[in-house]
Amino acid sequence: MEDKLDIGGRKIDSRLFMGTGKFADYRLIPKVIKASKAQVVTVALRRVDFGTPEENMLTYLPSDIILMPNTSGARNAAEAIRIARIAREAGCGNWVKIEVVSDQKYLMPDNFETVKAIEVLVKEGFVVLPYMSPDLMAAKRMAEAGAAAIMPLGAPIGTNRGLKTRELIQILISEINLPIIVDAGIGRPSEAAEAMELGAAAVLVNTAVATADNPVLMAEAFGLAVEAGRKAFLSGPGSTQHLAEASSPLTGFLRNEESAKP
Amino acid sequence: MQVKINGALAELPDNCSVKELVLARKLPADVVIIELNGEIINRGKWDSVKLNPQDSLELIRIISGG
Repeated sequence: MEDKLDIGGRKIDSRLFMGTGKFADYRLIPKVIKASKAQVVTVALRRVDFGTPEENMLTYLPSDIILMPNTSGARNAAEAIRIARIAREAGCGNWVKIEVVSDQKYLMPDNFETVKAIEVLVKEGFVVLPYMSPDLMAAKRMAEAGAAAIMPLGAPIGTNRGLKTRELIQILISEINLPIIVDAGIGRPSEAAEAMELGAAAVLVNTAVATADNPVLMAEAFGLAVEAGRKAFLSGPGSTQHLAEASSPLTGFLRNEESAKP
Repeated sequence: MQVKINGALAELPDNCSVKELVLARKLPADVVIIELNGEIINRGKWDSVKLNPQDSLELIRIISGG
């Protein structure tokens, strides 16, 4: 059965998107990508640091990867738009993860500014994937503005706390006719599987992999979990109930009881 | 002449082009993106665009991120 994720007309096999931040060494990144089977990876933009020359991280990425530059560092729509344009000029393609954060404690995204940025960037031909706080009305505005997917947070960035916003994400999955990609907060493969079982179209992880003792093994675990969760969703899980229902016949031959049916 | 590079004042020779700046600072030309007074300078124009006193430059590059 073909089950591809369609984002802005692009068909993708892997439903695990991988962030590239926080890895101890760039050399881990290609191994992590390979182990996770991710086809979409995020990158960021920063001012050149004259003091410490850095390697070109793009050389560590497979040539067929889809780059999704983020607008991390933007505190309002105008800054996010500026970063998106620079990223495209830098050869990152036309995908962009809008990330507008002005709250420094919980790093919660600003849905209002994000909508404004989407409106402008979609008109300029970008495929826009907004990172957002899971709110139905905000997600509707983002969809109307032309977002290609909606990326609600599971928990604040980098916390590894899991699917704390589960109920709200479920509402988005049910009501928004776009891929819902859970971004931020997922700390364990079981939580990624949970998001996929709920009907999320994909998950984006970074910290959970980058901060594991063995990032490559964790990347593989996430890949498997996302695949398992997706298959579980597609298979249509059975309903839950309070009372037990035997999976094997309870009437038997050990006691002198009458069988239910001859 | 004095210009601003990434928010800090810097001294450059008069009539310096964007390309000359990139070479002088030994910047990784293949990955650096240059914004001059808020406008992105296309790589192909680095040679022809000359800097003026008080210009504000942003030199940006791609790094890892989530």
